[in-house]
Amino acid sequence: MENLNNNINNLGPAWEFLRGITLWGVVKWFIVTGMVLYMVFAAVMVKQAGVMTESVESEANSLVKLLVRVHLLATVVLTVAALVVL
Amino acid sequence: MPDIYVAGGDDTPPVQDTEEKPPLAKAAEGQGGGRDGSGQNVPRELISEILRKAGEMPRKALWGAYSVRPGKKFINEQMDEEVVLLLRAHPVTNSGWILLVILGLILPGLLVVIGIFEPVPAKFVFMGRLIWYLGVLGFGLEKFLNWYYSVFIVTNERLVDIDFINLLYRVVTHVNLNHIEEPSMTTGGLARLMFHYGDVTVSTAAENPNVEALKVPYPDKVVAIVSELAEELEKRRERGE
Repeated sequence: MENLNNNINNLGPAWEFLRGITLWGVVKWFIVTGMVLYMVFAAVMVKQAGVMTESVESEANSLVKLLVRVHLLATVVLTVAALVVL
Repeated sequence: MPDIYVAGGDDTPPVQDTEEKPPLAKAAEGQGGGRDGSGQNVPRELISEILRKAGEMPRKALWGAYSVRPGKKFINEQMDEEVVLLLRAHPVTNSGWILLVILGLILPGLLVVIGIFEPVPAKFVFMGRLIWYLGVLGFGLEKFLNWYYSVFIVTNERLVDIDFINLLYRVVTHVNLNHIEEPSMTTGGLARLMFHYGDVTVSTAAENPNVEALKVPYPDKVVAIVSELAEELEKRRERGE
């Protein structure tokens, strides 16, 4: 048992890091990773909305472009907020 | 219905694009006659007559799902081409995802009231709710975009079917009116009968699949107008105009 404790103590900074991991810390990084992936989806949506609005002329085109940009902006803001708040 | 396709050695199949061309390249394609170089179309003054026969006049109904002579442009439109019908799926076909969005907006509040999140730290609950609402917004937005921009266009020269299968996949199909055989419609089921929508299928003489406008309003009128336009084009061809 004493040998085991010595070995663990020899791990130094790595052990300290491992001891710092909490359940909610893991959840936080899952959320942040998910949000980064979602940000890619939101960016694709902006690009695709551009292609769509080129396809057919419509009164709603400018509103659609605005909405997808607001969606992307909200995604970025929430990703940063998840990093800071959680 | 008479067979309005005349085999004339020009078996140009429906053209399918799944490309991501730059707009300028597309606009350039739209100049100088049809894709097959025929340049045949129904003169604009005859369009009103054809619409009158079908009991139609320029109008926009069902939140733009059924627009007659909307005066809108579309990608690859040619210089002397005019949009006669612009169709989308009937708005009632969106009810499924709209209900899901409403449920998605209500659900977090319900779960909080039930107390299912009591062991979860408040900041996680707060951020979780915001992220959930963002996801619901994204889901709704994607469904709306797919509905709104998947259109079936009937012009005085051809049929154009623009389908957005998902955010990354687009199919654009063009069929010249002088290449179509038998426009037909299919309706059935309670919802379709109640809200008067159905599928319009236009078969072509080529090997490529038929062109379909799915779940569009007033399919009977669409078939009538497409048939009249094609017949008029055929008459003009026979007269050598």
